[in-house]
Amino acid sequence: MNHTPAPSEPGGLTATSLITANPVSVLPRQTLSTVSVHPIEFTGSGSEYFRIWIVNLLLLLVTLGLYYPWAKVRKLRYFHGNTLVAGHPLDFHGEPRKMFRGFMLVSIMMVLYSVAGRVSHIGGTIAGLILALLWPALMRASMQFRLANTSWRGLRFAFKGSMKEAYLIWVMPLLLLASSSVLAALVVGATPASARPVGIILAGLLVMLMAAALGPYVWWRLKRYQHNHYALGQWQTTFKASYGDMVKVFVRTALVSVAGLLLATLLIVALLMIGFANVSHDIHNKATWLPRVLQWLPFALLIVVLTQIAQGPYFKSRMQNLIWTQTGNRHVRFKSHLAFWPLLGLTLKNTLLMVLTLGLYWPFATIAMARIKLQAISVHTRQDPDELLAQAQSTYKDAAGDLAADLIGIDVGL
Amino acid sequence: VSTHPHSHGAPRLSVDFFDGRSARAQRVSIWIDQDTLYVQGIDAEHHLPLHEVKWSEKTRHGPRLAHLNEGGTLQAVSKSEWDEWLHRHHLDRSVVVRLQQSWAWTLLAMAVLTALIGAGYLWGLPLVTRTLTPLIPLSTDQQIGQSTLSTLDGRWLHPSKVPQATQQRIQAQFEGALSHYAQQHQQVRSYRFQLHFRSSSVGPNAFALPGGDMVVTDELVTMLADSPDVLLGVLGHELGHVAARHGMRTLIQSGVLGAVTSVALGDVSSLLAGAPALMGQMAYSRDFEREADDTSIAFMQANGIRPSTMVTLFDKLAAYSQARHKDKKRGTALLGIAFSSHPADAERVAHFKAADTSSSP
Repeated sequence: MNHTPAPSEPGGLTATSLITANPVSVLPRQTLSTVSVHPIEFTGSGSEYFRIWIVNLLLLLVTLGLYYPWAKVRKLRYFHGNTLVAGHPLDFHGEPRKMFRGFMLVSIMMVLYSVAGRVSHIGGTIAGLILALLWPALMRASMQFRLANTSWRGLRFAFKGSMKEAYLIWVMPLLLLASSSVLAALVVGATPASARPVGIILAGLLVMLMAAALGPYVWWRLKRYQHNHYALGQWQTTFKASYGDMVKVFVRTALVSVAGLLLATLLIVALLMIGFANVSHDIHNKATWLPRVLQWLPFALLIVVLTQIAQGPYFKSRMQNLIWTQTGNRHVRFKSHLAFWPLLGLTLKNTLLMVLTLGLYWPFATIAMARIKLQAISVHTRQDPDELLAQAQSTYKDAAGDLAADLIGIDVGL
Repeated sequence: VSTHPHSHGAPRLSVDFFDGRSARAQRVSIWIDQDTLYVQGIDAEHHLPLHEVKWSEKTRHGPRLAHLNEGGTLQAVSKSEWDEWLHRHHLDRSVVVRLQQSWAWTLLAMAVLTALIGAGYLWGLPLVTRTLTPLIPLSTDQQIGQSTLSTLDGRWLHPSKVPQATQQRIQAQFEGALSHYAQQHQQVRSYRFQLHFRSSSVGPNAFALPGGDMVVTDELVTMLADSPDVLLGVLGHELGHVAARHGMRTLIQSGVLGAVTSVALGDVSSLLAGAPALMGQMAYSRDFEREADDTSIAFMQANGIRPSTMVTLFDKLAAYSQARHKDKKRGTALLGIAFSSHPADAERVAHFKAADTSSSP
């Protein structure tokens, strides 16, 4: 942290604090100060957003898509404005007129990219390579743009991550990938010709293991970069989750998936036993049971799909809780209590209603999802927000960041 | 320093002001006088042209905010008073906001949206495709066709078992017929037509790739061994696909449809956004088949073949598929010339028959 903690005055707390006086036990008694907890409230309404969405859609179509930046700003201002922290809304300041240039640029780039890929493989590869090289810079620009254009109580947020760090995210993972590949090649080379297949299997296992470990690793480094650099006034967040914490979430999600598969297998076997009890004597005659198996196949597939739905909400809830609860420091910290079962219930409900309404339920689903995710989070501060002061920072007004956000689809992650 | 005029008469509104430097709210009073907004509080005094103030859109639950040009923000203390104050100054007249607030207008917008989508699909898309296709050089078609053929060769197509002599005879017949046809239809000269004989598990079939490569399966050659005229009709149909650049048009159509839907529905899901592109191709390709049938008729007429000869093809195909079903082999669908997206056979047969009487060379 590059600033000294402001003196805390017990009792001198804010007009906006809702709950107070939660002494934090780790700290020595003398430095205890009251922590105020500000739950996040989301007041968006599905029916209202539905109307915004329809009108946006109409204007988009009438203008052949040129209205996109205006539609996007309207949507963002609706979601930001309905997100209340300590009773005060967030606000979005992006200007559609400026974002329009970025939008045009990104559209042209996307068209060129897809044309390059279709016309020749080399063109597509080169375009992809350029995009990959630019990706860290684009991600940083998009974070800067999004945060610099978001405000709370008149203060703009900031993203303090440096360009160097944005590229450094990828150095270790790439080195590990390269070294494991070299190691795999060495293993294959070192094994005697007679045991070549064993060597190849070993090398394959090595590469697979590395790839499985690298996914969470990259994700962790990315999240660490983002969550270490959010700032508002004197506050800057710190990310404390370890790689091990992150791996646990991934492993548990995999276990949920496996458990789902086991459950599906059990259910299918049970169904088969009920459905085929009377044909068991005739098991060698394909004609008796084959049509019946084909009849049951859709049900079996449905069971598998249903048991696999759980892993999405499971991962989302556990990951949000980990990432946000581990974001913070002495001055400001977050806590997230997004529960799995309600999230699963909502996911099922949203999916079902989306299918039944041919997608028209989408705005309602988005609002409900934003509500459950945002309201699970609370902000804990040790300092009166009234004392927050804007830091000397060059306000980031380059709308190129917005196009980056569109291009790579990365966001603050809520 | 302040030179603000008296606010006599001008209705004042009490709001919270954030100066952008501190998170502390200052209670201020604002009023408008002659297109200027005045902000006055204990520590704050500002005035700025009204057009530099950006008022937030009115929503049921959302906040009431206004962005001042130099970083300050106003925030309502009482939403109802704010709304009333804005209304009095006619600052809430955005058409879009009024559309959004009314269910009646929203439903109308939905109806217009549906109509627009329908019209765009029926007329706009073919128009755009027809405009864009000539802009793409023919060499692109050939490149796509060749890479498709090499992909197919690896997986679904195998070297032909038809004797070389037969292949050469069919090739010669086709080239002869093509030169007759080209006398009346100059534009086909710009294509490089090439017949490829392949064996395949898809049964009797022929299909054209963009650019002029046409694939004929061994089964089709065998099936039509005693009716070379019908084979020419089939090749004329495939030639129609090539000359009208149906392959390229399908590509462009799915590209345009994909781009439009991903902008409109991109938020929803990439899966949903991709679906219309797929669905669009089925309906459009029916039109393409009819167009190709017309070329086939012209092709046959240019060579003195009666178009009704093609009835033989449909009879043979029907017999073939029936035999297949009787054999209780796999229910392999007949692809290509008898693809599901083709217009009903009866309709096509009637079309070919009618062509006999309409005009003969």
